[in-house]
Amino acid sequence: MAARLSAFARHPITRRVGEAVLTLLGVSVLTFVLLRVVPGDQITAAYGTAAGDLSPAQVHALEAYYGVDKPLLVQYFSWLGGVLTGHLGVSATSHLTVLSMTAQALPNTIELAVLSIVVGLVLGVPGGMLAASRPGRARDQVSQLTSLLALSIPSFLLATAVSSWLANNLGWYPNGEGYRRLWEDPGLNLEQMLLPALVLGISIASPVFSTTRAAILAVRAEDYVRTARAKGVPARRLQVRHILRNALIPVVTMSGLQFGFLLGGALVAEQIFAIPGIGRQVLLGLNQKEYAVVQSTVLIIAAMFVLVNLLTDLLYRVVDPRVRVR
Amino acid sequence: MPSLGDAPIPLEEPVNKPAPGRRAHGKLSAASAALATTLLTTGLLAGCGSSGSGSSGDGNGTLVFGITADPTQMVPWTSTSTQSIQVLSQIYSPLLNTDEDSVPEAGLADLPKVSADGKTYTFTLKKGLTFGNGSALDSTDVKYTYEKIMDPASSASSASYFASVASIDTPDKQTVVVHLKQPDASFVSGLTLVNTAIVPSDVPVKTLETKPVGSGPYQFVSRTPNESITLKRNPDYYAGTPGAAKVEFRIIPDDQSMVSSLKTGSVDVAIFDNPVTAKTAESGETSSTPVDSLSYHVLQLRASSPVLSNVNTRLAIQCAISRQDVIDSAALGAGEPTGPITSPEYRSDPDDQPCPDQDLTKAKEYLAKAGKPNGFSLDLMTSQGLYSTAVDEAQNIQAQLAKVGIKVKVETLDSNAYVQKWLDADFDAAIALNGGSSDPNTMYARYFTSSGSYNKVAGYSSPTLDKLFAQGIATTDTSKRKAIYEQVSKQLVDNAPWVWLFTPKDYIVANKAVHGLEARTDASLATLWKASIS
Repeated sequence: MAARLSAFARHPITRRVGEAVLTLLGVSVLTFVLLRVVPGDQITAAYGTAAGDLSPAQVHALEAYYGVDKPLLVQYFSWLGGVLTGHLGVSATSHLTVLSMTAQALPNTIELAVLSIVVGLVLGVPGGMLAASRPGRARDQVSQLTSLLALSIPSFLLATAVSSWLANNLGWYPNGEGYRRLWEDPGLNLEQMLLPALVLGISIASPVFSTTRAAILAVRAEDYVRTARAKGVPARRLQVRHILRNALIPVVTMSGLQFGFLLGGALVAEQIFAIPGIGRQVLLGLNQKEYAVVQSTVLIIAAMFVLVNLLTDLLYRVVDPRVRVR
Repeated sequence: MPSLGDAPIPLEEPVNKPAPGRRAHGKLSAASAALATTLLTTGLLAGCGSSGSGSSGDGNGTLVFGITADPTQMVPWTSTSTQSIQVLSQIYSPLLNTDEDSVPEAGLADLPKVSADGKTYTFTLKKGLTFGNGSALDSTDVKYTYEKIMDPASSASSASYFASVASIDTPDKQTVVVHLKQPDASFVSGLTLVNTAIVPSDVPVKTLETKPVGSGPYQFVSRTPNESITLKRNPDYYAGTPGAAKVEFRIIPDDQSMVSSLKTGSVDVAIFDNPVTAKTAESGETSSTPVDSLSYHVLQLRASSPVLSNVNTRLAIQCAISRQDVIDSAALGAGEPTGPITSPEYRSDPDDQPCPDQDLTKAKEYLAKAGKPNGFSLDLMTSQGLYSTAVDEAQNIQAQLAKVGIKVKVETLDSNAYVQKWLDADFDAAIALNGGSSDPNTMYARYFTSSGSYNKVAGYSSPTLDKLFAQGIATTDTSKRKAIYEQVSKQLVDNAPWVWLFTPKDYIVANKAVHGLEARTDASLATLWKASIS
């Protein structure tokens, strides 16, 4: 029995799941501590300097209202207990549960992340192929320069410049209309997603471009490509089936990572284009020092990230027999 | 823009809150306080040929008002953020209104009859007042609201307005009698604010947090957090028929995004505190109207910190600073030099101070008198994120003071850290944007009387000031009060506990489909209901 238990504990999958749980616990402790280390609390956030006019009795009432009158350990464990039983807390500002706020915000963030990745791949992969087709030549240098530019322009600057230009010259700025969800008004929703997805997509296209270019060059030098060519595989088929397919593996890995980051909320784009996503939820929570909102939302974001990583790991075991050893 | 209530406050997100008990204001704020000095029919109307005030009431349009953040409070007496005050001033009515000169005038009730001893205020409510839910608004609701505000459990930001109240009687449904412990000349001005607005006594506060019910020009319809708040016309509004069928407060966090939204017509009205942004928002379809503000930018010196304890060091700082230079460099010219009091009826003469203009020779004389002929080192705290000009003001002052050998070290803090240090009085000098008020006692008694709630922060008091403030609050005759506050103002500039810099401007930008929008001081939205949209 004990042997079986220890075998279970030592199983790679158990170990990975255990690590994931520990990571999340670490994240929760870190968020909890950081929130309380920075100056100010929910009362000063809500009242500003006017907090100085609150009588001690008023301050006590507020501390009880915000639940910050209890010892820190009690605060942490009562929050954690809530999370484990599905109660993520309530926002004192909107009076909504964090769960329902997240249910509102997360789909917008996921949609934006998917669209941005699509834009990044559509721009980056063909660009990388183009550059790799004649390394060192003009088209390669021009593409690399463009990619460097795309990487260097701060996205907030690009976002502001593009949207002002469109508003001034074409009278078009769909993000000024109230936000519509995909299922409420698909047309307007996609219009509203266009600019933020482009801006984010352009910044993602750059690493996609470099990865694609490097991977194609590397794969092209592989023995099996030379063999295929020697066997007389037609050029087009060689490019797509033998080179691109294998070169895309690192691109997919990298895109997955970028996707993970985007799920954490593309704060700048959400802020500038008034997309009510998960990044703004965290920012507003931070500004208002809504401890429960920030702690729970960060935990959800971390859980998604960990989950995506865990799935990738497990997937590798299925795909690549070499990882399955031990 | 910042602050409300005489205290510097976070603007955007941490928001401006009016200090409890003070006139709130900031970007827009003090909505119902309506401290208005100017009443312009804005240029917006010009192109449209509609008459400035009053609304026809036949408008069926939705007026979209752009705000940069979600309101953080939805119960009037807790409201401190600019956005809360803007939204709640449309849903609720305070007992009294203010005219365009910020003087209290009749609202739900007529102006009160005050007893000879100045301790009994009798208010008569208008007939037939109702709340949005149809229930009658009578003296019970007024008493209920004010007692709630005075109850510490409510943590009302407006509690200090009621500090002199002993009891409230309601002899009949239309009469409210307020008994004060001692005369309080500033009592009435507090009753014009959104955070003293009347709430229905028969609706639980918990319900009001999510579904506000008031007697204002518009009624609450729906709210999507971080996106919008929609209101509809209150057909029974006591002061007239609101001009737009609906008002939507739409949240657009980014200023440039707000500008684009105004230009493309998806947002009808928005308010900016940054003159450059306001300028970019002007186009063929929009116009921008600057409005004065009662708030003031100030260099707070703490006389109780050792480095500034000698009055001559503080006067040296006052003389070394050109206020116009601060305005030109930090606020791009958008502001007026100011003295301590900005209340329209009691305004200080900005030139009545030891050095009305920069005078480096005099500054050096004061330094010599203070025994520091070669200057000294000074730590100056400023904030990032509270309002747009804070850091630039600090840097400009740093450069100006360097000319007389005062070496300023600027410490830039994020808004929460700044507020915390400010409240703890943990600084020598600070750049602040404080809220003003139509009442001078409300503006300064809390800072410069020895028992004031912010005296530790201000760092200065004197028996003379204590006496003057006590006289000021006990005197109801305006001209006699004026003489008293002139002395207060003189005491303040002669002792230079602070160096008063300038009053800023707000910019109301609206598209030309909006008619009848009044541009009031502090960009108050108290008369937004008169605006309609074509």
